[in-house]
Amino acid sequence: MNSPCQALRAALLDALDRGGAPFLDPRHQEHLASCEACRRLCSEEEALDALLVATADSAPTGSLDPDAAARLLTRLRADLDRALDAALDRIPAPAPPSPELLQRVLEATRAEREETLPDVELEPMPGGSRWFRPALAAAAAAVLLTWVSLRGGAALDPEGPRLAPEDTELLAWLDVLERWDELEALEPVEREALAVLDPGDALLLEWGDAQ
Amino acid sequence: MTDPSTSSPSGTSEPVELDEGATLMLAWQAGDEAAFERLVETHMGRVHGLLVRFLGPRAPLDDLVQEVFLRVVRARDRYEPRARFTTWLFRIVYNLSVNQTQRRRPTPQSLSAPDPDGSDLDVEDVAALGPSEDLERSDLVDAVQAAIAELPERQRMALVLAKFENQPYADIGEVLGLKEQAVKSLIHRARENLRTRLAPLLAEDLV
Repeated sequence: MNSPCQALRAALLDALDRGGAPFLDPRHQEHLASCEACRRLCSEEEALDALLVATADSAPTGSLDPDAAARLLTRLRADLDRALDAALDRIPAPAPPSPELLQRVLEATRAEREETLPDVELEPMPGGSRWFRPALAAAAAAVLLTWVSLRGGAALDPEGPRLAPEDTELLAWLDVLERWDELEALEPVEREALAVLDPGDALLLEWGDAQ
Repeated sequence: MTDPSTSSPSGTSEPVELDEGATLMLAWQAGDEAAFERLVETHMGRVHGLLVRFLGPRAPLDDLVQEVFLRVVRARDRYEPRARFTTWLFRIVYNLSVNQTQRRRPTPQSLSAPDPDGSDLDVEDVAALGPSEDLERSDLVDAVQAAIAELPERQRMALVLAKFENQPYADIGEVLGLKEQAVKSLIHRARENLRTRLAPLLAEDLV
């Protein structure tokens, strides 16, 4: 609101306080001619004043007609609402964060990010088969399932477990899994060969190595 | 902290269209570390801005921004794109800000405390100023900011998200854990509080 508007508004309020006596000096008249907002304000205030006068004449208790009071409150609330929005719009946008903050956040989160890294797949060994490990695991699982199904219905031996032929086979596979590190160190060709051998062949080879 | 990614006031888990933030978050979940850096880069400004609006410029903003992204890191494995990424992120900001407000309460750097540089106006002082005081525009801005800072936390966050972050009511509901209707009511009450507190200044500014 610029100062001619403020001066006019102050004069208007003063006039209304004094019962609506003429308030406009030539300076205000000149401003009114050029300011649409002030013209609108004046006409609204005059209408409101007329309403108040009419209500005062018709209401024996001197209180406002409820409808008029409601309209007045609604108008005041709407005006205040618009002014509130204008005031909120004047709040400047916050200054951006400092350029160093990005690096700071990345540094501060680095340790925890490294802790929460998802499982990374092993790089396939050069020349090796990427199916070697799953194939071996699947074979072990199949043997284990077979063993469980064969032994499932048998009653427990009070003297403890005894090794059956299939138990020996299972132990051979468990032995293979225990020696995983050695297997990882094998040449790809050797590992692939081992993956397609059945357990009996593997045991035979192992026996041959031992001789 | 309640994991913002696992609770929804509406209880829905309908798939949403992936925005840039959610896409980056999922890429990072899958092991792309550069996606996290991009995520921080693109969202740090909004996080910082929201903290300034909600807590004021005197809060330890850099520490809080850092803490927000630490919480993002900790929620990495649980994140599911059930809402817009900013909604999820703003909920983290809100939870953290409320904790911060409560931590500051016993030894408040109160808005009503005398301010050496005189830049803060107390709400009571603002209300006491008559129209004749002819406040400058910057004083009005200070007064409005002070009045916003005095709002209850939920009203303040709802107003800030609606007015300054242009968030739809439904998203604000996700942030605050409220139904849309409750958000409307909160914002209505926030505006009413501001109108009441700032009435002398706003009336002066009418025309």
